[in-house]
Amino acid sequence: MKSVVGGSIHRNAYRDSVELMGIAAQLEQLEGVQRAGLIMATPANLAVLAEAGLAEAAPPGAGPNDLVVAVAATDRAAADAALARATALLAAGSGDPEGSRPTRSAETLGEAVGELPDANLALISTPGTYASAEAVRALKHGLNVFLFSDNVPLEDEIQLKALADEKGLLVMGPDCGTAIVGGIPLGFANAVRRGPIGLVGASGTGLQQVTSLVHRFGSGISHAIGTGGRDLDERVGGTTMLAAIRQLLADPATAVLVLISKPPSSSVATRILESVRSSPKPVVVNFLGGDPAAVIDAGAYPASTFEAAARLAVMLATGEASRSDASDGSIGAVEPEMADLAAQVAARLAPSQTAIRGLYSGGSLAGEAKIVLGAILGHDRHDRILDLGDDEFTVGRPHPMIDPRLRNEHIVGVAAEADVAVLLLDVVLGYGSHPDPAEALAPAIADAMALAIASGRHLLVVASVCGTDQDPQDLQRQERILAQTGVMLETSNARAAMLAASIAAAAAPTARPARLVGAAE
Amino acid sequence: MTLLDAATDLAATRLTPDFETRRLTLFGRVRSVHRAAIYVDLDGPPGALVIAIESVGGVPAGILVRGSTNLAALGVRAGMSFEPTAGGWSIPSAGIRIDAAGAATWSPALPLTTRLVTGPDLARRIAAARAIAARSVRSGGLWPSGAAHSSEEPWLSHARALIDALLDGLGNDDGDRATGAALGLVGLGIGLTPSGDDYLVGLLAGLEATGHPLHGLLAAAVAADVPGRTTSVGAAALTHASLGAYPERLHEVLLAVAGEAATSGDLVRAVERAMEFGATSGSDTLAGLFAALDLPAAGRSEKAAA
Repeated sequence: MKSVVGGSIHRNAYRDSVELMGIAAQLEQLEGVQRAGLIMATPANLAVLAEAGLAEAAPPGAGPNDLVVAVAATDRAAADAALARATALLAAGSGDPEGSRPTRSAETLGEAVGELPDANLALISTPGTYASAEAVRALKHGLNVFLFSDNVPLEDEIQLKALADEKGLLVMGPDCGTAIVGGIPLGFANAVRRGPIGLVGASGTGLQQVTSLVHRFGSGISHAIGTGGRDLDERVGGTTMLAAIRQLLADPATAVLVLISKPPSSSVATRILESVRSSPKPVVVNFLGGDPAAVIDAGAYPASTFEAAARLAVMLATGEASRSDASDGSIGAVEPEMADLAAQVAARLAPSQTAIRGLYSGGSLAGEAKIVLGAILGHDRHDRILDLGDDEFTVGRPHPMIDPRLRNEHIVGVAAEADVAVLLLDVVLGYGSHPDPAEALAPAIADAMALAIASGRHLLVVASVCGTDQDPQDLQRQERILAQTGVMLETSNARAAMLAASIAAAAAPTARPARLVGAAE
Repeated sequence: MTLLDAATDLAATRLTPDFETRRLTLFGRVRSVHRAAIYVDLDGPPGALVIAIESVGGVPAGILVRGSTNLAALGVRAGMSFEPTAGGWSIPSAGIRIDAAGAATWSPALPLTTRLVTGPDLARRIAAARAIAARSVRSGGLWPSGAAHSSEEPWLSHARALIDALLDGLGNDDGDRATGAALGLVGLGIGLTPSGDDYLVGLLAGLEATGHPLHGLLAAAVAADVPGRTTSVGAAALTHASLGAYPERLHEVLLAVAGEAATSGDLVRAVERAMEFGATSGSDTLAGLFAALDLPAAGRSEKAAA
């Protein structure tokens, strides 16, 4: 039978032999795949590949520390699908266990505690109906809880958090997507260096954006504690955020605190700000769209965007910022260079193109974009920012941070909207996210741009990549793919939103002009 | 216990003697991170080191540590720098400090008591050790499986043919045939240390313990051929083995087989511990060791006993 050979190389990828054999077996189950193998590219192994007629699977330059995936399939599409599957399986794998047998799964929480008596945290990801009971069991075993499950009733959350508070434990969640505890990422989280900045956030991608930017700015994270989106609701009372603040204030590895949330209810905000009023450590507060005056009054530092929070925290940690540097918490002004770029690219737009469409995978990033656009352009506009990770889009589907298909459909759809000038996107890297998101998005972006051109328009695409150089997806590669597709990249979501707003302002002369740094008020 | 109680200090418990004397010269970068071990590429000799949890046992160019049972959970990532500090070493980006103050030295050279003398007792203990190991063999490695399967991986069929040639060369004092086949095994197989490398480490230990006349020739040939032929972790293991440095778990098996174990339970524990290493690394290493111990005794028992 005729075969098409495909191969991919994974630099410095180490997996134990049993895991590699398991992946090969999975690939061979795929339709059209005749044979698959994963081996280190040593000369001896490459010779065996050549003997098996798979020499072309190993690209030139593959060395003994590189892993080669070799596939023989009935056609190119089947080979490519198998290689993509291998990439996903390798990214999802533990990367362990040379030096150990795979760990046996415990059947119950009690059994797990018996096997790991020093454990201090349980990660619960059962359907919401069962999650509360498991969380109670974990708390009774003296374990802190990371509750990934959603659809947990509010009443259960209140009771769980009361029980945790009584025991001096934390319940992160429910619906908590992100945390980093002592350098260990939980849920969707980025690979960041450890350092003096501790975070508490009711916002998953907000925590990811701030921790990634702290890493990019050269500092690191002691702990990042997620609270779940409802924690700052009046009825829950910010129980987890208050407990996490107490722990971070007592933690010797944490020098600066950052609090992230949508604006809490007024009584909860008062309680939280009161808890940091006499803090010996600087506290940066980013309550998106909240009132900076209350933050300043509590002796904390307001930050209007995730980027501003990260930058201020790093400066406070290094002693480069002090009380006198505190801003008024308003959205930063547009830099002249960005305004010039915006004016330049806006000149390519047709007169009908004035609106911004945001297609987001991160809810908090979408929220931040809305606030930045509102601050720069006002609210009387036809811009639309969609959070495609919201429940209305994810029923029966994987989250868009894992599966790009839904977002790709929307991206191509935007090309048909004659009023859209700018398509605004986030690309979130890190553990849990799609193994190669830029590669998965690029064809849809290219199609959308081509469709717009065919209709006599230019569709401008602005994006930011939330991630670090230590993330498994390779930040540089992700940015390169997007740039080569024609995407205008900014280093943070806030800056991407600012650029989109500046383009829209330049394209619609009647809109409120973007405020420039140094311009007279 | 609060959530934020995370241990970042590790105490070194055992070091190889070269590391004790050259502690301040060891700079490098993390190559890979696993539950039981962190592999570090060094900027200078000996090229690589391994930080391992105590249950792994002594390893050449190794630092055994106490303070964690899961090194993969400490936030260490490939590419992070490893450097000496006043009291030991650190991986600064992960906030990990390794305190060397209380560490004892451990030599990876085979103790004299592992030198084997042929006789019925030795043959019985080798057979027992092989039977114990056979209980926990996993598929996919070089453990002898009788007839080759038609569905076997191509590299595995290739490796079995090379092993036949290697053992034939060793059994007939044909140095060229043995070294040619051994070099074909370097870097052959899947995984962090390709199976061929693990097999050769075990084989060299067995040849050294039995004083095989071709041991020196084979060790020199492997040492000369390793660079660029296998993964950096495999290359480090082979280079150490060719210089007579082996993991403690191999020492324990050889001591038990030599009759130095106090009870038969010690033989069971030693073999099971060696088999537990890695996915197939343990069984591949013991396959090489037992193959060497099975070689015809003629011409070496006298030397070994000397």
